[in-house]
Amino acid sequence: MNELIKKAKKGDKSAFSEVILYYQNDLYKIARTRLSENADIEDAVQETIISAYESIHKLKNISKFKTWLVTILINQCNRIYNEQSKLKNAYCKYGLNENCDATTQDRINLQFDNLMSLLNSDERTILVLYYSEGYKTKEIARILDMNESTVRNKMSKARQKIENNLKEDYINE
Amino acid sequence: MNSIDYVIENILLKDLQTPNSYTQRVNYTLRTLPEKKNNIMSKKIKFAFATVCCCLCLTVGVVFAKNYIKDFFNFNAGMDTAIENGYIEEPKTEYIEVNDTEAKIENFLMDDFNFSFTVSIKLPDNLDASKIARGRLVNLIITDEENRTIYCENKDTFEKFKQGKDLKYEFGEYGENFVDNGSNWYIKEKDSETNTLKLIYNLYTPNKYPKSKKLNFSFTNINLSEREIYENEETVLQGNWSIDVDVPEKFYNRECIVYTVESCSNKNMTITQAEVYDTCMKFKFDLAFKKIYEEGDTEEEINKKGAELFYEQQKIEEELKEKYMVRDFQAEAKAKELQEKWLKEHSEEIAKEGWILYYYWNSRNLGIYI
Repeated sequence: MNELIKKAKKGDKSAFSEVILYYQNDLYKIARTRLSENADIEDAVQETIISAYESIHKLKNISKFKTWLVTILINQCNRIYNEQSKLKNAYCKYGLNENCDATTQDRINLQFDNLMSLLNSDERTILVLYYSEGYKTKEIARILDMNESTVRNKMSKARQKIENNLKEDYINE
Repeated sequence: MNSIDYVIENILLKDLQTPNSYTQRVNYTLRTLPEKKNNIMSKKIKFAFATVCCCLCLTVGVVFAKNYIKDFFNFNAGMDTAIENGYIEEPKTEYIEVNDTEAKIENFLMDDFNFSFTVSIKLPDNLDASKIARGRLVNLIITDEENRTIYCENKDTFEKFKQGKDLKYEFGEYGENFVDNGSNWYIKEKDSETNTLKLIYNLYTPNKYPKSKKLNFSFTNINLSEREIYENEETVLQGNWSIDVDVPEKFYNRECIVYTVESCSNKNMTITQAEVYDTCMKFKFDLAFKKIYEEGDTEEEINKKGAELFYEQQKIEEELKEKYMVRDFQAEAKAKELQEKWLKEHSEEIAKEGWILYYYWNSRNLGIYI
């Protein structure tokens, strides 16, 4: 991967495309923690790709490529979220919202959505970055522009919310 | 680590199913990125394909140059090999006209893992090909002489195809009879003089495409739009196009060499498959799970151990990429099944002992395509 990123940094479009395709599912998952509409997620990821392509030559440390990419994505998501106040509280919960995207019918997507519906936007992103993407709390703090202690607190609250809500379903079975 | 962490991980570590529109949007964005002027990479990128595996004794001595514009947009490097070696067919078919719109299969490529084709569409006079940004074949179904479904867009189309036939499989029963899994498509060329569009379709499958001798491409509508992204505002050309194509022998007589693994120097690695095809080499391996966390570990210790494991993984990946010219990693469905099965069987043990699968979950059971 580092070789591809090096090539992309030198302007190789094909290498850049391969790197993005490698991370496209991760980008989708992270964007989905902050935006509920697929069209908005697609906009955010598209803008992220274009922005990353235009500025990748400025990236100093290629080992931080993904963190850098995720930071751009989060900023794009925040921009779209702020532009569209309609998204407030719009995160859909299966069975309660007819406008849920069809992909939520998928079992895994459904589990993901149900878990996410318990949390607020920051908590969702923190959990996905920590558990799914493997970032440390320090790195998450940098990506989300928060104090590390805030990230830890939010993660703790998120865990507590999930534990309270899912205990009966998942743990006592 | 406590039980709730495992519950969260169990959900969050799985890949989400992304909508087709998302994949198409990403592909479109990548395709339309401008070339950079300071691109110092040579357009002729030579891929050394000579591979000597410490554990496989496997040699494939093909060196080739990638100095063409790829017609079939696919990031499986095996496709490059295929096209560069002339592994593509231009069938002798005529345009089929329905309601003033003509269509024919311009060329296609088929191997075990890739199936791509170009369809040329001559538009009626009231439409201007140069203004069309997006096109698609609606209710597309591709079948072969043994009524196997190579690709089918939707269930209704399959049910119509099934009528009057004694098929032993149903829509969505993925396997050797129903191979379809995914697709992407885009307009490759527009010719104003002949008012023609060339629409490329790339199909892919985790199964294997059959060794078909004849193919039939059928679709009911051709939908066109002057806008690239949005799905509404489409012009619908109605009709029923059915195009038959003979598959050349080089496609259906393709061979695969299976290598047997005698030994492997890495104790943590079990090689489960090593095969060489006309278009690519493929091997898969499993990496052993590893206990790294102890009960009572602080978060700092967990982070430290996790980072060590991560770097160990990266080292293995880098070695594979540099030493064996491995170009891409793809998680296999099998890996997920194994993980789910393993997790189910060991959930109590996991919770009790504090085992961590974290870094092994996303892509540690790898299929590698060269």
